[in-house]
Amino acid sequence: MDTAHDQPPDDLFAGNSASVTQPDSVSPSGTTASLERRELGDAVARRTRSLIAPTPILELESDKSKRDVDLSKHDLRMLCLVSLDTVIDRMGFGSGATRRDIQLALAPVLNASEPDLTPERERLVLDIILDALLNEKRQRQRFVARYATIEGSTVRWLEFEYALLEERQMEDGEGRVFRASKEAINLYTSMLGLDLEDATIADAAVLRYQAERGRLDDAIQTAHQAQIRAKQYAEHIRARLEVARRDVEQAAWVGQVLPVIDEALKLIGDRMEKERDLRRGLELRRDQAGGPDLLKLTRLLNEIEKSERTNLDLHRLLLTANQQFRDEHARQRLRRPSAALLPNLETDVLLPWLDTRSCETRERFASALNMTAGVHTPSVTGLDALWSKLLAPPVVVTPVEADTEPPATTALPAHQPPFTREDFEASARFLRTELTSPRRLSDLLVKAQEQTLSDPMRRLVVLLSMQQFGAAADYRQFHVEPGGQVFATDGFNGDDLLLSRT
Amino acid sequence: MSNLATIAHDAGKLIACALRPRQTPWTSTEYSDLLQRYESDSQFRSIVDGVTEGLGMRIVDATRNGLFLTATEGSPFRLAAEDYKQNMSAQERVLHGVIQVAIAAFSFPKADVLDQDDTVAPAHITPVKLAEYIRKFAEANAASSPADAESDDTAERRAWREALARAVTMETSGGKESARSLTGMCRHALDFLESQGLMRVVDEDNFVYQGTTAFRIRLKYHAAHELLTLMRSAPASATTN
Repeated sequence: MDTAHDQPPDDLFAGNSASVTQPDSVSPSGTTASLERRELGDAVARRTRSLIAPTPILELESDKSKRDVDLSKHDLRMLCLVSLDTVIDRMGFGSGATRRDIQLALAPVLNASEPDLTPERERLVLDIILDALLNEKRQRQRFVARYATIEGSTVRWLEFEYALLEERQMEDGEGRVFRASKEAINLYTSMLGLDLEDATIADAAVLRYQAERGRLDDAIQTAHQAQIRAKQYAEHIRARLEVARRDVEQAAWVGQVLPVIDEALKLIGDRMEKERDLRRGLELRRDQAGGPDLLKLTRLLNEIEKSERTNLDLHRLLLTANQQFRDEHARQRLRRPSAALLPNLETDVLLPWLDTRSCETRERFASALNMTAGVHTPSVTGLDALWSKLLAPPVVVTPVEADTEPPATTALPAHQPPFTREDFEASARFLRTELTSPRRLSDLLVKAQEQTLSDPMRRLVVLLSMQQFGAAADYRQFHVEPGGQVFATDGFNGDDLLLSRT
Repeated sequence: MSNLATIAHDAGKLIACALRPRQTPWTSTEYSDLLQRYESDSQFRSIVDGVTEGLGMRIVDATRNGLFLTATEGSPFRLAAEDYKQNMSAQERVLHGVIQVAIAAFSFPKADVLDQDDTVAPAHITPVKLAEYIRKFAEANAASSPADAESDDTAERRAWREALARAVTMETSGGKESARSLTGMCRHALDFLESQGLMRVVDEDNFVYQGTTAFRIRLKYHAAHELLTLMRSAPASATTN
């Protein structure tokens, strides 16, 4: 920090003018004012961060109308908070809430808002909530927001990176659980940037005060808040240790982390002792209580026990942290590259990779594959397996038959010929009778109509006439030639034909 | 069996466990016990390290999450292109290389995401999302080098052009996804990583995958650095950056 930052102006919001600043050393009151301003700056920064943290949840609600699905019946903010509540309640070291836990917690809320909610829709809403809290849209990166802080006489812009939820592999290696970040726990406890250690101590004092004065309803609330805060504190310490353990080169373990461990051990030890005393007193009261007080005291003790478990886990972790760090240090020194040198895979590798000549990337394919996709395990056929294959009976291929019943069908009606035998006989008889002398086709059709020949019969007369027009000698039965005029009669029209026996 | 032979036998067992992609210490007590022994018994560790090296492999990491190996040049355990996919064309090799890098970048876009605890699960990934992701970066490259976009010189053709060409020509026909489309190729890549124990299927119906702890460890303690080194070792003329 430059020296100007240590010389704030009298008016905190007067801007960056150096003319109004006065060195702290000049007057004791100046030192006090400077300290107050620094504290104010820190407090405001903490509160600003606390205001920023719920942004993803608020945006989820405000943007819900932009989605393809109608979510108007649901308050997504509330659903996010119920989810966080469920996660925090199930958090401890190495555990958290499963997707099923969250689903069960949300189900009654969702069904109350939308009674005809289908399982698919329920799953969809759950996905939306979890995706938002995990920042799935940005591939689960931390949320980032810019904010201003007051540093001495200047206003400085910083980036606040935070997370709300993370998914972890469970201890069994197979299952997955969700865990809340410290910012998410902050949201839950509505802490506007209070110092965690101070708040933890205050919780214990308030709890004792309320319990001793019989304010059991208030005490239950305080105990619940205290046990959440205990988890938050445990997460806070665990995260610090994890960062240090992961990156031995960056961590100044002895200088920075060991004092944190000592301080945390002291705080936790003190807290555990107080909780133990309080629990014993409450257990005695519970044994003598009856009616509603019994119920309340049982609930209160449950909350205190949860808090004790969290503190006990943290205590155990703190006691073994140093040894774990030493082991990890020895291991990392042998094998692992420093985490500090990890590249940004998107910008440092993918982008340049895409911008490389294809012939180069083609050559690198095998190398990249071996880096990212593991090893090849050759499958060697043993001699026994080889013999059993050679001596095995020949494979009989049985065609697969579908086990289906033939569909119910009905026979199509037989196709009716356009002309019946009677039609042929009647038309032939008509031509034999009428064609005693040359006749025009049009005249014959008029005659046929007079004799009430049916439509098919008359069509046959026309078709037979056309068939004989230009027929080969072997097939010719009567002579047909163009009639030299056009006719239109009885539904037939076209060039008239002249028919004769010769 | 002599003491040394017994240790060597157990070392072989541990390496065999590591070579089975789907086997984890969580599902095999023997594997878990051997890993603990690797941590605590220096003689055993030396023999495991020696045998591994002799087989042409290197230990990426050894924790309670497993023993993770990588094959060095010339090792019989090295993955060949044919193990990944048979009869790939030159263009397919380019694209599958891009896809492998893209899967890693999608799962762990920034250093701080990769640097999270080994057991933190990365983002969900689907073939469609991955193809879109590649297309987005390819288009960003195209926008930053418009001259290259118009060039038809095959030798100078950049990988992003192959990605865009495949995305444009194969993704628009019909509703069905072709195995040769960019999305289809992404699915093949994810399925392959799943068979290697590096991805898990989250939702079979919707083709949702997620990197496993093994994938993070492989990337974090080996591949990310190596990929960066590989990129930096490129001839000066190979990139336009």
